Amino acid sequence: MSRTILLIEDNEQNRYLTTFLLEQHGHRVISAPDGLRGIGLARTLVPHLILLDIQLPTMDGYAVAQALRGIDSLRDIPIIAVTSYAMTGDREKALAAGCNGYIEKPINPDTFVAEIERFIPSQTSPQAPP
Amino acid sequence: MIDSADLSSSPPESPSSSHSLQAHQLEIERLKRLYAALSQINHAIVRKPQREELFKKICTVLVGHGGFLMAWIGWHDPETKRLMPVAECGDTGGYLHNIQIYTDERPEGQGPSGTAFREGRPCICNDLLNDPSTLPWRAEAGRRNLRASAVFPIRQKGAVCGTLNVYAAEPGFFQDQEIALLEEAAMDVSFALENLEHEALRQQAQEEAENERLFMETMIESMPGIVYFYSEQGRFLRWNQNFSTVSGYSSAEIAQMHPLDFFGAEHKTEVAHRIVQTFETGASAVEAPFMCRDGSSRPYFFTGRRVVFKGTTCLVGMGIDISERHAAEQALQKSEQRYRSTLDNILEGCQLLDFEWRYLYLNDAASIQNRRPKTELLGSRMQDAWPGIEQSRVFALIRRCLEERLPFHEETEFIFPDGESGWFDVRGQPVPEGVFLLSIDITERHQAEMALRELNESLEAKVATRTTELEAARVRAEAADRLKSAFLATMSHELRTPLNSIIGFTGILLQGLAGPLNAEQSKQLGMVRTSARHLLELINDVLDLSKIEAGQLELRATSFDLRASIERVTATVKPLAAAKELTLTTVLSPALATMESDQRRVDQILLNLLNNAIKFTDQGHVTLTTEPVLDFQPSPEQPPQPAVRLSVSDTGIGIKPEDLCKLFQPFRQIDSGLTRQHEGTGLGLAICRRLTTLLGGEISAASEWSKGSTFTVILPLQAPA
Repeated sequence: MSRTILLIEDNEQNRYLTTFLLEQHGHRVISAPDGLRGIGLARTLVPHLILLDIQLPTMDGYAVAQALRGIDSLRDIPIIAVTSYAMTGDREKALAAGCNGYIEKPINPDTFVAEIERFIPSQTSPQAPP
Repeated sequence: MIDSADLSSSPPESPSSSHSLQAHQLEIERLKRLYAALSQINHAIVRKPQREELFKKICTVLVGHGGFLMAWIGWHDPETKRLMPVAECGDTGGYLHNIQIYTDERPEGQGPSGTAFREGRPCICNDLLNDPSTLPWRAEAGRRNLRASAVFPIRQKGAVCGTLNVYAAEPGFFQDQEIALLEEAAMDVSFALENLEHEALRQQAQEEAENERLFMETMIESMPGIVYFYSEQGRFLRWNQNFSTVSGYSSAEIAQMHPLDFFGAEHKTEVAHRIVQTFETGASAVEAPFMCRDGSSRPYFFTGRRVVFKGTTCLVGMGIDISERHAAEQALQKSEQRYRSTLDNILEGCQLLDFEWRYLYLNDAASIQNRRPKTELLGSRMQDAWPGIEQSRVFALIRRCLEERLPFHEETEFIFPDGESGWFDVRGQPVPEGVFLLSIDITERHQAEMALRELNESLEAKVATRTTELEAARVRAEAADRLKSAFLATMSHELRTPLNSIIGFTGILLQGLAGPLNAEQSKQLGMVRTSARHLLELINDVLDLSKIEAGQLELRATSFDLRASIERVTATVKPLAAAKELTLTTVLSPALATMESDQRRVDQILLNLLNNAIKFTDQGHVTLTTEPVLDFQPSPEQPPQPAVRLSVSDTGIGIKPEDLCKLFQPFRQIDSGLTRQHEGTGLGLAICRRLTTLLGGEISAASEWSKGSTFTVILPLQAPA
């Protein structure tokens, strides 16, 4: 089942890694290297899922999550924080900012796709064409 | 008084006719009776009866012997101006009760009685029924057959006080002779009354004298001391009973003794001197033991007065037993001596000053403090002994104590005339004599205290400096801590980001997502993946340990089912055990309940222990046992609490006894020569121990080399807040 996934991630290698992995599993991946561009894409695309890095330049992941939750059309889109932050309270901060899930980096390529697919609602389809 | 000679010579008026003879006979008869009555009256007077008795007797005699119809004596009441009947005889019909006679000018005062009283002369009415002056009583008199009356004043101390009233049944009864005789009788009564009064006065005086004597005697006898009276020659004239009682001598013996006989030889001279002094100057006193008949003696105080009695100079004296006072005085003296000798010898300076600032007393210590012998100070004034002392603090204190009677206690400095400073602990107490001062020379102590204070102050300054330094260090340490936290966060991120690529792409390649791999490529990429995972484990453990050390590991206690936790953890390690063909067994107590702890950390501990056990065991089995602990008490200060014991036993290589103690230290993977075989970070047990401590529990290990090990963790069911 193909889904549109928005990936907001500043590290180019990691962006490539995640995009490659998800596309291999048949998903459509659109990525943004920072929060502002990510929010803009999310508005236009209204993706099925957003993967959000926390450590981002200019505007961090928490702020991006809060901004996304403030947009009516995006209110119900699942957001999953994928972060290399592993300090106490990071998970809580992400959830509090509006994220639905939290995955620590490094990701396990064997299980990652299955993990994020759990968050995608099965009946809905993308509202905008690719 | 009329005697019988007068009677015989009384002149008959007309003896010629028989009628007149008969009348004469009658007259004689009347006079005879009258004389008899007067004689009786005189008898009565001589017997000195009471006034009322005399009056009664007179009336009775006049009626009974004098042949009068009625006789009464009226006594003047100055208030009502009435003549009150005080005695009567022959008043059968209540005549006196029915009439009222006054002594003033009203009609009831114009009769014979009133007139006689007022004018002080006899008043005769020989015809009561026809005399105009008797009008008020005429009816009454007629009814009682009273035809003539004679009234005579009775005098007392020359003044008329009453009347003698006599009534006859015949008109014209009272002739000159009868009148003269009755007047004489009235005068006799007056005389008798005077006598009676004199007698009463005399008796009264006698009674008073007797009373006085009794009073004096009672007084003397009841005196607490001894009372005596002796002449200049030393002859006892009078003494009280007490004298005899105390001395033990009988009255007869005392009468024969000399006053000096009551004193011992050693006191005779003194007492004799005092006796002479009393006779010479009029008064004296002496204190001397009074010696009794049995030879005992008691201290007495004697006072003597010279008196002249019946022309003889005497000494009246009194002695009081002063044994008690004596004893009290001696006790006081003894106590005072004791007190003084105590004061003399104590180390505190004691001084007594009077209200004029004069030294009354000093002990040795005070003398030393005053820097001169007592003799120089006693009697002199403080201001003279210490010129200029008026300006000192101690002087002000003493002055207040003297003037306001307020005690004080102060440590005060005194500058001696040579400029030397002395410190004294001075107490002042107001006493009847003035002020009592207790002083201690504390100069040395004061100097020591000052030195100590300086030392303390410098120490305090050092402590303050040190505190500031420590505070700065603390601030620096906190800043360092914050830096460390930031560093850890950054490290975590920076290490994981490249690892994400390594592990991620390795996984993609191995999955064949980027194209097929040959066997060698797969094997080598597998090695890359293993190394990368080991590196990740290492990074995670280092970060965990650092977080715990930095106090940054926050526990999140939730309620969870321990059984479910154990199942999840064992499921995770099962593949590892299966890969090494080890038996993994769990023995769970049915009593296991839910725990209130940080589930993630409990899982981490269990996972670590199970991983370790599997890692170091090549054959046999690994067993996880749980059992409840009812009263777990990690330290004596804490109350016992329910807990769970988790034991992981294996049949692995075991641990040498000397290595057991190093087990839980970081980076101390036991150097067994097998290290390379058993890859690990060497941080697992260190982390386990720290986590266990954080959760309020304890961890221990038991092992036998080459036989196996058992790691035991006890965790309270309720983690500390």
